[in-house]
Amino acid sequence: MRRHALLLILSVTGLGLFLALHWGSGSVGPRPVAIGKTTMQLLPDETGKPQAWKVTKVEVPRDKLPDLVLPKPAPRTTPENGRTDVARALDAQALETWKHGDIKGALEKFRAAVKADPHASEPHSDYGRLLTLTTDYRHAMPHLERAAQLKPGDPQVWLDLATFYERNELFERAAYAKQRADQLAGGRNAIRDDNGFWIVEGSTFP
Amino acid sequence: MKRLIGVMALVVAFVGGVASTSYGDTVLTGTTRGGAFFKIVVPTAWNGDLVIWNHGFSLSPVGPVGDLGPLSALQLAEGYAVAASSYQQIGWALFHTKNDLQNMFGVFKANFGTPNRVLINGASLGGIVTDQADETTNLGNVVGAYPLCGVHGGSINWNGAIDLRLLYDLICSNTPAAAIPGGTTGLPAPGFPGFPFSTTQLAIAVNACMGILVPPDSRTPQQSANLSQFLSLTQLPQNFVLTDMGFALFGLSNVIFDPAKLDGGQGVGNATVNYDNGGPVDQQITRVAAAPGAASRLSANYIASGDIGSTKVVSLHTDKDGLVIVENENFYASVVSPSNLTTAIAVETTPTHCGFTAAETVAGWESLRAWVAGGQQPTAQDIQNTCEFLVANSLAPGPCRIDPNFVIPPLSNRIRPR
Repeated sequence: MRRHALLLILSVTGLGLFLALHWGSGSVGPRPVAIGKTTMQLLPDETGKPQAWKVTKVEVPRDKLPDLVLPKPAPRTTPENGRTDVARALDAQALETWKHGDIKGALEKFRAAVKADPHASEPHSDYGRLLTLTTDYRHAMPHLERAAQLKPGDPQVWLDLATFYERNELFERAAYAKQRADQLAGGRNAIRDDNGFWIVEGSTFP
Repeated sequence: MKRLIGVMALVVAFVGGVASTSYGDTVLTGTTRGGAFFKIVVPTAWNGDLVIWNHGFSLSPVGPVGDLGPLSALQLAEGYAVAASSYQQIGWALFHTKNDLQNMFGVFKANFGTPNRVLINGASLGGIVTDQADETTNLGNVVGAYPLCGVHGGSINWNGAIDLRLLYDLICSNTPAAAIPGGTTGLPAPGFPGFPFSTTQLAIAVNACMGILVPPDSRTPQQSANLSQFLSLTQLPQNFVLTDMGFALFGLSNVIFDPAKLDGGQGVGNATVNYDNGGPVDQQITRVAAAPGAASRLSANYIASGDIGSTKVVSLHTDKDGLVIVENENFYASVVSPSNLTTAIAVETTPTHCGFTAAETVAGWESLRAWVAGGQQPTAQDIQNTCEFLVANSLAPGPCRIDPNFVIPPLSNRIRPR
């Protein structure tokens, strides 16, 4: 009996400590989360039952959009060289293959072009565009973002991202990318082509 | 107009992409029941109101929230807190979005207090999530809603998906390389994501049938004929064929086979549909009847009812949207009181889904803000005027294409009744 009583006391004390930790003494809210910390908060769910949910709090300056900042590309260790020429040649072949209706062949050639020189932006752009057109968004994204990293001053790479984000219904990012493109376009208009892709007026693709 | 001049500085900040650096935002992230991620951003100079952003249809795995909507920079600059949920389900997430938003709202209240007013903003599928939230979810004092290209007809739109899938099978049966596994359920069991069929395989198949990915002069006569017949029967813009086929394949199979959705129930059918008045399509297309239980579960999750109380709604759509067709706005207007709803249609040159200009998006938002602040209900013409003001003063890039005289056809004109 004494053992049961001890267990009961320990259980009640434990529960009390748990509730005090998560709800705070004398308060009705959960334990506050400190800036830069992650904690479990005990909060009622849609049925009113308490649930422990993980919450992280950070503070960021307004001018930072952490999710939209693309990491800088690894610096090119060598100047443009024979590999770049190979990549460009394969990219051009891929575009021709695409125009002739061989989508599978075009995808393979774009893949080879990107592999030939990962630092050349055009193959990333062209490959990413075709993947976007085929709705293979999961594979398109790294190529389009890589192209933007490699050639950040080119409005078209940001228009490609705007198209991509729009099609993925990531409208905050789409607005950001379109805005970057407009800033870089120097008065040239961005228009939509027949596929609905954003392009700098006067350019065509493929 | 004075109000607009008042917000000019904020809009300039929005368009410039950078708001004041003197303020920080407190960002709260985490997960709630079922694995839904949330992100809550509260500006230091919080005005006490909350904007909830509802994202659109996505078949990507559920993950941390990376997007708070096209207006979030402006909304934060205006002092609103902004919150968004990833939802716990991919695709047609309406089976649990009510709980996801409710739980996120609980987190918000516990950490920042009850907001004075709540405004709900969403796009595409996020539009019907917004409707559902207005109508059924306890999110406090919801005073306004701003759905963009919203799929207000909700589950009715899956009827269009099954038509698309079965019309494809019929029209493309003359091209062996165009064959796609499955049929009435989109993909066969277990559907997306379990069934091994990729977006690339779909693209290659659709291209084999219709030459959709190549320039018109590279298409074979058979491809051109197939494409022409497909567009005629589906009334879709050409640049949406592949996107919509993805919905009719991956999206449809996911909603049918996901155990937390219809669990294998045939929620949509075409048994009674008239495609061509008894012609060859009616005679040859595969027919399937919807299972009543699954159909009613799909309808319950969700079709807008219009029961929004006193919430004020500004709804924006593009006229040629090939994914969420503009006729959804006709449906919504048929269930919501006209005194609570202003609909504005942007007339575009190339069909897009949600392809609004920044000026159009901001104009709709500012019109809603003025309305909930006690102003008169805006008309589509008012929103167009606001848009033109923003462009004329270089506050946001245009153009402004809202046509107040645009007549929205009924949803049944594009999605055949059954």
